[in-house]
Amino acid sequence: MEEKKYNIGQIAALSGVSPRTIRFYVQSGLLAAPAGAGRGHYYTDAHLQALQRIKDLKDNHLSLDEIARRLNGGPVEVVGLPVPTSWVRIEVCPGVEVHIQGGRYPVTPARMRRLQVFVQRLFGETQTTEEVDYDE
Amino acid sequence: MMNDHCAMIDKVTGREVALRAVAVRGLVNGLSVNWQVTQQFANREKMPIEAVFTFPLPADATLCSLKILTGDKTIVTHVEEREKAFEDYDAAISSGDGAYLLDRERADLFVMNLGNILPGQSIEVQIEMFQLLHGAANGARVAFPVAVVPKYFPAASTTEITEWERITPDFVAKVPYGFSLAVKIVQSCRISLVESPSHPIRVVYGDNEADITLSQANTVPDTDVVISFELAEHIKPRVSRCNFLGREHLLFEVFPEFTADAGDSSRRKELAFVVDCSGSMEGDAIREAVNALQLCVRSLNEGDLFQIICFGSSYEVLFDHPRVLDDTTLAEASAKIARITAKMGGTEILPALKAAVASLSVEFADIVLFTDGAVGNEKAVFDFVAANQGRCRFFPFGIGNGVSESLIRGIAERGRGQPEFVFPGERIEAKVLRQFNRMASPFLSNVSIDWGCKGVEAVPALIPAVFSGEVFRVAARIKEGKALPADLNVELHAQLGDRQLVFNAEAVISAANSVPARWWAQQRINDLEAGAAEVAAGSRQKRGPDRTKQTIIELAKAYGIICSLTSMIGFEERSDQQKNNGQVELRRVPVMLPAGRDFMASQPLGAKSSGFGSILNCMSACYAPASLIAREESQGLFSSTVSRLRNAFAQPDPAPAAKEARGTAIPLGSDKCEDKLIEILMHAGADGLFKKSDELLALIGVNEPEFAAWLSKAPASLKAPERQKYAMTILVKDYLERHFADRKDLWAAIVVKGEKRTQKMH
Repeated sequence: MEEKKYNIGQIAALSGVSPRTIRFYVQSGLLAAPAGAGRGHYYTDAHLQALQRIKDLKDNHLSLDEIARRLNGGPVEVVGLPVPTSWVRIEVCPGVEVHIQGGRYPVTPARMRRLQVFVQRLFGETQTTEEVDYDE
Repeated sequence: MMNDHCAMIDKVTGREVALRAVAVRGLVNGLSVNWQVTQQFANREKMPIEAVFTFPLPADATLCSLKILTGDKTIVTHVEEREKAFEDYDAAISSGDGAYLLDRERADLFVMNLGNILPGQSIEVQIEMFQLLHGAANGARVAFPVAVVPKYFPAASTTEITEWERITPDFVAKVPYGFSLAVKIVQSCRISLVESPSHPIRVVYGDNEADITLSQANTVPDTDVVISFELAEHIKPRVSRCNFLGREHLLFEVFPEFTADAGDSSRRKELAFVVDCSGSMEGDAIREAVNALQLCVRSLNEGDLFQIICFGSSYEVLFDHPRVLDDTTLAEASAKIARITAKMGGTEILPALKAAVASLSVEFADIVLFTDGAVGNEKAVFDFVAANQGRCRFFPFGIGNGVSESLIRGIAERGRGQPEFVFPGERIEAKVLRQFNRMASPFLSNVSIDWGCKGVEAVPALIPAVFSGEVFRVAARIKEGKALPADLNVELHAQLGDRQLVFNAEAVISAANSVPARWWAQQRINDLEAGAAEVAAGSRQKRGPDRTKQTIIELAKAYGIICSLTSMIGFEERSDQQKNNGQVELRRVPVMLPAGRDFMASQPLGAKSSGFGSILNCMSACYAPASLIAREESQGLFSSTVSRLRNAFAQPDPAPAAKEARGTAIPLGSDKCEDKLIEILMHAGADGLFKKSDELLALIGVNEPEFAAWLSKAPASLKAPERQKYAMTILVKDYLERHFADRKDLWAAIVVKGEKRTQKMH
């Protein structure tokens, strides 16, 4: 039986994937290049099945990298990604800095003041007698 | 760096980067900007490539020309239906020819596809567009987007996610191509001020002109360019006309000024503040949002109702019911706002907006939204906002570098409000004040336009909201074959209470270009896309979606405009010797991580595989160089905190930090004087009165004996605490008038509140 041939518009309509995305998949190696050469290139039922498979995997919220691995028959890597964090670095006094994880503690002027007094006393840099309420 | 002997290599992939440079030139005349964007590409590889470049453009600009220059050829592109354009693009490449396709993926996001670039071939892409600025009669803000920020999609949007993956660029820490920008402002009066919060700039003032360039000739393309200008005189209202395709087009711009009647007292307001606390806000954006919110609650009048909703992957309503503003609720809100962080995950904006509307208790209220707009489900958001037009208005703040202009403007337009944009380091106080002035502005009813002639197709379909002092802009296309009357007079009519208001322009001028016509067409297309307009003017029946699509395509092709259903396409036909087999390698141009987007900087290293988009680590704040501290200080992030700490080490702090929670009012901005002004204003209570405190006295440099002199001015009939408040309030007012007269726009509202209160105390 003669192989069915589709142009990019036809296979897009059948698969529900836009022509631009089909081309992107071909360029990225996710989908095999169309058969034929020049303006006469065409897609086949094999391409249609591959597109359907990609769509099914997308519906399961897989990334394109993971889909590529699956389609190529490789194992699906489970990458333990570290949790992104952000830190703020504050130089409390010369030679002493504090790193505070973003969002963990409110950084208020009052707290900075208490921290500074504490550090000053710790390193004996000052004889300040200022009283601070560490329980506040 | 840009010479032929230098290769532009992506350090991660080792591949050549096809894009060599981007140059932007702008010409501002009145509130109209003509932009020319030039992108230079070259293929230094040994095989033919397809270069794909995703980049932003101003959301409300109209793109009307795309030219391709290569060798001795100039290829003028044309507008084609989007899918047909792609089919032709694909076919041309397969045939061995060159093809160039520009798609509009969002109102503010475009993709340039250069298909089948031959080895050694250089290409210059020239994009021309115009933009009509939103501003006032005495100036405006010009913003050119450079940064691309990933968008968040709700999990169900598989198709949208797929399309986004196709266009999303590879984000890298550094790119080998540079970016330059120059703007020339030409006005009919003197330009009194030009400034930029985003970049160091050079300004050369001439006769009613200003030439602006970035101080760094080739800057890194990771930061939007924002330039504000002020004029010595007001721009005059005007009607511009042009004849395009045999039909007359009119563009009407006025700056209505109106105030409430003398007897009209401030009505009680209800506001719901909705704050984006998603991961994408981490960094400068959340700090700006928190600062803006602190100012907002202080700008409310005593007795106003307010609610605060934070959102990310879910949303949190901060109060179990809307609060009435007084000193207690102000302190409570201030403390809660101080604890807001960008740790709530994704950007599920729609459920939060729904919760905000559901929380409203009065008949007509306002929603104030703080977000960077990094969402992919814009349409759903727009539909919701439009559906609630009769219930409330929406006043969005677009925060941060790489903000989604299209989302912010779209919400404001459909929500009958106005947008404000806050770039990191930009003064937020004036913007907060402007929004509150708009919300307090008297309602105009029966707003209509008299075009002075019949047979008019007017845009936008929904007459824009009118705000005093701000540009009001509409356009019209006249019926085919009709000429304009010689004495044409276009008027804006409105009713304010019992008064009839009329605003018009002095004269009709002939435009030197096709801006009136193309702006009309752009707005008409926007209306049709949004479903806000009937296909045929005057039609009583909605046409089907296919008919609407067809009309959009016909309009876009006739007026040469790119839109959601059309692309710009051009072909480079090659000789038989130059043609190849059409097998090309894909090269996606990487873009930089947007500056100030901490959530992207802290992503783990992503291995690039299969050429799909990945985010690469650039700089963890953990290992930030010492310059980061200087940068944060100069931005005022902790400027008052750190400098006080350092000073405290050298000298004991004379004024220990106040124990009551005023909120972490950490002002941003490099101006230490303005920091001080904000610190003073943060002492204001809900009623506008200032409570006496050692810290406040120290701020305004007053000692106890001096304060006692002011205390004697307070009415003797008041009790001691009230006398102190009275004296402190008039003392602060005097101080502000003497030291911050030029920043009255920032403190006037709070002082007026206080004056009303002190008058009642007599």
